[in-house]
Order: sequence, then structure tokens, then C-alpha cells
Amino acid sequence: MKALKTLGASALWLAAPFVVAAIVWELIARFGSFPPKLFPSLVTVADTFWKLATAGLLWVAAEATLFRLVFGFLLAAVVGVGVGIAMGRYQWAEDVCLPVVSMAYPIPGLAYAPLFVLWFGLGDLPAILLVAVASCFVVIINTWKGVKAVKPIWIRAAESMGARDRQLFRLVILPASLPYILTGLRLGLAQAWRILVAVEMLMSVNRGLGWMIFGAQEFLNTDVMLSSIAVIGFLGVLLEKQVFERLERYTLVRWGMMAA
Amino acid sequence: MVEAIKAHNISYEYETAAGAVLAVKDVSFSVDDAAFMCVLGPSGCGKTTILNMLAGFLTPTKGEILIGGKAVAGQGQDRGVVFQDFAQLFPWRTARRNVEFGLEMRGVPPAERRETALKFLRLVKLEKFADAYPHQLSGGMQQRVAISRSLAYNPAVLLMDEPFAALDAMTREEMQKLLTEVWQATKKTVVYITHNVAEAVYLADQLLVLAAHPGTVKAQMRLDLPRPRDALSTEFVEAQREVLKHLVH
Ligand SMILES: Nc1ncnc2c1ncn2[C@@H]1O[C@H](COP(=O)(O)OP(=O)(O)OP(=O)(O)O)[C@@H](O)[C@H]1O
Ligand SMILES: [Mg+2]
Repeated sequence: MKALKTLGASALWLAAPFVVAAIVWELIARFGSFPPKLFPSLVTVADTFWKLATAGLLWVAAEATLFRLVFGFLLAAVVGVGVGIAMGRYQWAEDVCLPVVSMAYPIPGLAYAPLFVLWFGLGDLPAILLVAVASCFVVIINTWKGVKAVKPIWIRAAESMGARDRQLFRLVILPASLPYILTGLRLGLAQAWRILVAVEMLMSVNRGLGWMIFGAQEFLNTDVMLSSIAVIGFLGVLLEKQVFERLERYTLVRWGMMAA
Repeated sequence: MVEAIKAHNISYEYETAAGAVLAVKDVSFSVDDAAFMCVLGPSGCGKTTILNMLAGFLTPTKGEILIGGKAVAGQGQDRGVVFQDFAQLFPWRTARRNVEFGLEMRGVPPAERRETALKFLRLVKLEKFADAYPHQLSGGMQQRVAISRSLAYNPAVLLMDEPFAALDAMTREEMQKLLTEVWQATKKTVVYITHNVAEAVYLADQLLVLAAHPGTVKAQMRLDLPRPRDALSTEFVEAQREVLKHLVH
């Protein structure tokens, strides 16, 4: 009973900021000077969301977007962690890559979009590649810093026990730099979302959440836009809780390398 | 008596931005097989530098080190190293998996590895904590795991750099007693670095006393007090006074 009460209380706390935001929104929608078509009431949005969801449209869009996101991000993760580790371990790799990486890092990924359209045409392939390029640099930089920050005593201990190149990578450097790598992957995923929504507009794909948002602009369907935005928010939270936080609990928290 | 370790006129010079720093100068010593040698000296006299050369982390700028009759070139599984820093254990591995590491590098199959690791954890009285992660252990327990980790793959020589310096006095005494037992049970040659005279007299068969700036040998002596040693006995106090004399003059 008491547990139920505390559970209820924590749920209430969790919901509180959303409730406040919703109330403010609703007040503006009803009493503000915006026309309802441009600033719809949450009731309208919820209604539209329900219609889009039951018609399957939201799922089709979410599926298309997730497909691009996951492939683009995985590509960035694999390449980013690989390059980052090489840069952290080998001076020549650092010398070669660092100038390129530090120059490319601050360039907004969207700047390459027209180039990718010219090279790869329209559709999923350039979208995935652009997501990968845009999000890999932050993964590289964080992984590289993580490898640099590995305690030398771990490497010494491992080497004195006979660990050499491959074993050292897999059994020491990789787990030791995991806190930084996870941070890089998180930032990379955020970057991937950001670029993907814009890319879906530019690449003339015919499905996806970003496509839905920009498509809805033409018909002033703000309720559709908000529904898509809500799905992006849900998916973001879902990935954070189900992938990153799980991974963190299973590794860093269990190992005492990060407070629970 | 066979010599397990022989250092012949070794020197080490650090290259720094401000120029070369001669940390160790013309140091020679030898350690008997299965003996416990303590290296004693004031801070900055080059103790860690000497240990790092024995371990193969540093190469002497002059001179030569022989271990088991072979010249030292880099790290090797013929030596185990225990550092002062508790952080030497891998936090992502349980105590048992930490101890297994050296065996894993040697390609020992998992079941056998596990068996051996548990045996060495039992030796330091930590078999109950085999599945604990390092962050769940106290400093003294972590150092015990580190000792069993460096023994598990059966090196001939154990190198220890002030492994108990960061522990409280009571734990340190327990650890010294335990280390003596472990050493007697495993018959390793040990080089143990300390700046604590009582600790050196409690542990050592052989003693290397160093002077600082640059690090040179001040005295070499043998201690043959009976074991287990009693820190309150007159012989013990007498031996301590003897060592101190070398240290201050
Ligand atoms: N990486 C380094 N670069 C330059 N000089 C160094 C370096 N490491 C040590 N030294 C110098 O070499 C000398 C010996 O250092 P070392 O660490 O071997 O001393 P130590 O006897 O272990 O001292 P402590 O008891 O404080 O640990 C010192 O004078 C120190 O200043
Ligand atoms: Mg030292």
C-alpha cells in the first residue's frame, strides 16, 4: 500500500512539468490571439494523433524514420568508435585524422546535404549516409578523448600480465573508455535525429516523421505537425531509457565507474 | 645460493623539458632465489624508477638487469607487478576475473583458469568475494586481489611498489603478515619497495638502502631474524636501529 503510494507520488512528480506545460499551452490556445488552425488546442492534437495512429500513418512514418536513423547511426557508431580508438592509440592516426576531424566537427551536417543529393540522388541511401556523416564526428572525438583518458596503470598492469595489441584493445582500452564512448554515442544519436528530420524534407523521401511535419506545413495542419513531433519525443525517450540507460546500468553502474 | 635477479651498474636518466634528471646512478645489487628483498630509501631516491626498470616499463640508460639469468627487455610474464595505487584492478571485472587475466593471456581454458583464480583468492583469504567488483571492496581487499592477480600466472619474481602505503596502520600490519605467509607458501622472489624502516625489517631477508639525488646504493644487508617476526622483540628493535643508522648517515 505504502509502496503503491510512493509509486503514485513519483509518477505525479514525473507528470507535473508536462501538466504545467499543457495547461500553459491550452491557455494560449484558448485565450491567446493565435487562430486555432495555427495554435490548436491539445484536444484537437490528441484527436488527430489518435486518427493518424489508428489509420497506421504514424507507424509507417515512424518506421521509415527509425530505419534511416538506426542504420545511419549504427554506421556512425562503428566507424566513429573505430577511428576514435585508432586515434587515441596510434600517434600517426591522430596526426592524420585530428586536423580533418576537428575541422569537420563544427560544420553542420546539413551543409553537405546538397552535395549528397548530387552524388547519390534522392531517397534512403543519401539520407542514411548523411546521418552517418553528421553524427560520426562527435563519436570520434569522444572516443578519442576516452582512450586518451584510460588510466596508464591499467595498461601497465595488463601489459605486465602479457596483454598485447588486440587483447589490450578488447579487454582493457574498450571497457576503460566506455564512459566517454557512451557519451559520444548519446550525442551522436541526438545529432542523428536533428539532421534526419531536416534531411527528410530535403531528400524528397515519401515517408517519415520529418516528411510529415514539413508536408503538413503546406496545409496548415499544425495538429499533424505536433503529432509527429510528439512521436519524435516518445521515440527519443524510449531509446534513451531502453538502450542507453540499460546499457549504462549493465556496465558502468555495475562496475562502479558511474554513480547509479 | 642462486641469484634470481642481478642488477649491474644500472643508471636511469629522465629527459625533461628542463634537461636530463639523473634519478638512479650506478646501482648494483642481487637478489637470492626465493628471497624477500626490501628496497628502502627516502622519497625521490629512485625506488620506483628501479622497480619500473625491473618490470621492464623503463629501460636503463646504462647497465644491465638479469632476471633468471636472462637480460630484461620489456615486460614479461616471468614477473608480476603490484602497484601502490588501488586503482590498478580492472573495475569492469570481478575479483576472480581480475585474477584470471594473466592466465587468459596465456590461453588457459576457462574452467582451469577459474580453478586457479579461486585458489589464489583463497590464498589471500578472499574466496568469498570472488564475484565482487573492485568498487565493492575495501582498499586492503583490493590490494589483496592485486597480489593474487600477480601471482596467479606463476611468475618467478614479484615486484611490489609500496603496495600498503595508503592503508591504515592496523590493516597494513595484517597485510604484512598475510604477505609473509603468501610468500612462504609460494616461494617467489620478491622485490618490495618501502620507505618504512619497521616494514622493511618485518618483511626482508635482504635489504637495499638507497641515498637520494642521485639514487645510489648506501648499504646492502641481510636480515636473518626468525619468522614470524615480533616487532616488539629486542632483536627486532635492534635491527631497526641498525638500519636507521645507515639511512641517516
Ligand atoms: N617522469 C619523470 N620525469 C622526470 N623526473 C622524474 C620522473 N619520475 C621521477 N623523476 C625523478 O626521479 C627521481 C626518483 O623518482 P622515483 O619516483 O623513482 O622516486 P621514489 O624513490 O619512488 O620516491 P617516492 O618514495 O616518493 O615514491 C626523483 O628525483 C624524481 O624527481
Ligand atoms: Mg615511488
